[in-house]
Amino acid sequence: MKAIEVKHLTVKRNGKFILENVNLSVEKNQIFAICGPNGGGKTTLLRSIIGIVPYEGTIKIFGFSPREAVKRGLISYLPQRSPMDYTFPATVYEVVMMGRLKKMGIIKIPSHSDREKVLKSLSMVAMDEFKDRPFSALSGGQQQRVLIARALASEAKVLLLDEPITGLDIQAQQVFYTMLTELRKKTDITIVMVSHDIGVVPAFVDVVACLNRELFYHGAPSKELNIELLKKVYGGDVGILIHGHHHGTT
Amino acid sequence: MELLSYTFFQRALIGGILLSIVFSLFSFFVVVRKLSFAGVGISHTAFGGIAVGIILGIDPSISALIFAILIAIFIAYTSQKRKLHEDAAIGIFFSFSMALGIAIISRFHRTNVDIWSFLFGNITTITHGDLIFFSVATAIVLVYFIFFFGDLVLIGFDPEVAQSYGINVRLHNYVFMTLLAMVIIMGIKMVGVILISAFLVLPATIASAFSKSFIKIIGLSVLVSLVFTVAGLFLSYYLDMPSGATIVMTGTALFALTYLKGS
Repeated sequence: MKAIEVKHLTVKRNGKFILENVNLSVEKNQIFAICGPNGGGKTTLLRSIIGIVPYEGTIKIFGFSPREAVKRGLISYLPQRSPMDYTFPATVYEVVMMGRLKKMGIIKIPSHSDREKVLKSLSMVAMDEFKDRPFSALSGGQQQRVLIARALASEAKVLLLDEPITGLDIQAQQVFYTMLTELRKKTDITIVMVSHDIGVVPAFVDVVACLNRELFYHGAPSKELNIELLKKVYGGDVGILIHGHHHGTT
Repeated sequence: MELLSYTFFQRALIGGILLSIVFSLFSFFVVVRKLSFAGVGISHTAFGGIAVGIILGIDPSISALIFAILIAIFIAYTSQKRKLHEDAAIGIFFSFSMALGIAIISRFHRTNVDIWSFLFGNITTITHGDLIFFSVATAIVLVYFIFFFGDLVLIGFDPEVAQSYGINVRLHNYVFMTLLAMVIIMGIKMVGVILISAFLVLPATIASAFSKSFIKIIGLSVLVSLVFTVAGLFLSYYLDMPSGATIVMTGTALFALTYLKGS
């Protein structure tokens, strides 16, 4: 069964197409990157998958509708950096414990197993040493790792990451990618990642989709993903670096 | 301690303890979600309700509660619709409601009404009925926080993720603001319309100086709030000063000490 299957997805806002007839599928345990320019509908696609945007068409997550998948805790969504309160007074441990909310009973008191899962998730992103630190005092890269740990603690099967490396320096980006690759090896998690900058799609991505209202490409990040296609997607000059090969600028 | 044998003081003490508990729970969320001005808006809007209640001959607490809940729902609505800036909406409505209150009271020459008590609180006016209202309100708030504390934390920290967890963020905002309006009406009896915002801001602000863990901050907020309320009540008696003002000054002194020590 596919991790995510999107068929004929159309999203309109104020009569304008944000997404038009998008079809794509994501296999289990894949790392799937969605690229495209700003305003191309990438975030809307993720928000449709978690069912918080009205849409036409079909979306299935392990065979369930977005609403059902959310209810079952199958998806974990990490939005872009902006809407979150990064100054919120919480320790790293407390932030990751938030991922267990849906697994707790009616009265949300963490059990022994909740605490163990939080610690395990922190160790998977190599942040266990930071568990008592204030979340607000961490660097951008460390905060992203903690938020991934929160998603892991929720035991979601699919991780949706919206522009996860925005604001991270090159080194932090590398650490982040390496961590995702490790996660994929250690677990059966499926990762869908959105980025406006195609230059950040590194070697570890299995499948890439290029989106600008419509889907322009859906496949391995290889030869077919050429400069002509990218010009079509981005609508102008593009400088790209895929799989370590510079494809040039125009 | 003959003071404790006075019925009015016993009521004030019980009321003060209940208030401290509920306000400190709200305080954390009001501070982190930057709702301090919304608190000011709700309490000042209640003044218009008080005046309307007096003129119509109904219990001013009930009319104040209705006014406060309406403005609270309106604040929650504007913050979601974003048609009008939330701060501007609050500023307009609370000024209007205060103006309405003053106009009504002046026009009908109700000089027998103790406006001073509503504006700055008067513990001697706390009745047995008020204590029952305080207890019921406290119980409702506690039940809400026991069941939805985790949801409220996630909404405050990361509303979009809260939504992705299937939490009804919009409904929670309405319920939270309505309950906030209810506890503000509780507090008006004690410290008045003007001073109530201190109760909402001081506990969590003081507690935040000691920890970066929200669990610890909320626990400490309860303690801080209890300390300055009870201490303020005793001081007001011995120094012969108004209770509301003394409680707020005690809390502010605690805040100043905390931050001076920290800097």
